[in-house]
Amino acid sequence: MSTSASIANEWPLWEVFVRSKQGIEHKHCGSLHAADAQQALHMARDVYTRRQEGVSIWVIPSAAITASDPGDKDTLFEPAKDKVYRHPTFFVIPDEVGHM
Amino acid sequence: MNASAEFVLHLADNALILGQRNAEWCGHGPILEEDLALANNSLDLIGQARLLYQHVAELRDDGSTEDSLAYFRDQQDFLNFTLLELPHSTALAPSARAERDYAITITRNFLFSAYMLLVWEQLQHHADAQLAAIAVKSLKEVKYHLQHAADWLVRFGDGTEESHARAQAAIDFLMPYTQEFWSGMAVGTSCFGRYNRFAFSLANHCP
Repeated sequence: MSTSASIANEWPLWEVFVRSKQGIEHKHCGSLHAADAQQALHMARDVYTRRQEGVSIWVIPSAAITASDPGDKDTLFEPAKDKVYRHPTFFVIPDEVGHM
Repeated sequence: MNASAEFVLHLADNALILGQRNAEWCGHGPILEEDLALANNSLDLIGQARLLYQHVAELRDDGSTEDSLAYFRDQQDFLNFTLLELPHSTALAPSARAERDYAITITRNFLFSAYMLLVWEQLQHHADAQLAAIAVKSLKEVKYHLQHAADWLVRFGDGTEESHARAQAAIDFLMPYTQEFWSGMAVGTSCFGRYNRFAFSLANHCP
């Protein structure tokens, strides 16, 4: 089998997100190959929740993700570097408020 | 009223033998995810076997332990269904050492899980509190085993010509062994009465 044929026959890739007992959000924990969404869910259960990691699973076709170009890193993220005032640490909290 | 030690021993032997059979795939699964799935399945079954053997030891109260029951009995004393001890290869395989066929594994898991779902559902209402508790735990596990096996069986059937043919061959080969689920002839005629008693007690505990 040629390389291109084996790639064509390969099951699509899925990204797996798991929500832990304490967590509010689903967190990305890895990826796997599966024929369809149902199978991807089954496999994610067996691969990523064996140690009681989760109470809920999402699977998303990797192909459906649009990612930023690593080459654009400087353009996209450098400008935020010198704007430290965007962090809320600049506000002085009055004593009466106590612990926040 | 406690369950009969022999009936619990039969459940324990079933779980141990299929658990060990499925563990043969560990490190040899067709794909990594299935390797883990089968190992999970085995660990569920061996976990059930441990609880059941511990309960048998309690019921017998003769010094036996989960280890003596699992490891120090002769093979003819095991009360498991024949279906569960068959190798992972079809009737036409030249020997028990033939290559494992995943269609056999999946079809067997499907048949046994479908049966055990019914058994555990009934046993969770058993008067023997310990057996009922084991049934509640095992019911959750067997539901997933059935989902997993059913999902693959349908995929094999709807898949390629080869997967369809293999799944059909597995069903043709294994289905006759499921007679033991209902006839109780698995472990010789002396057991027939035991199974009848079990059928009777199940009927008594139907909700």
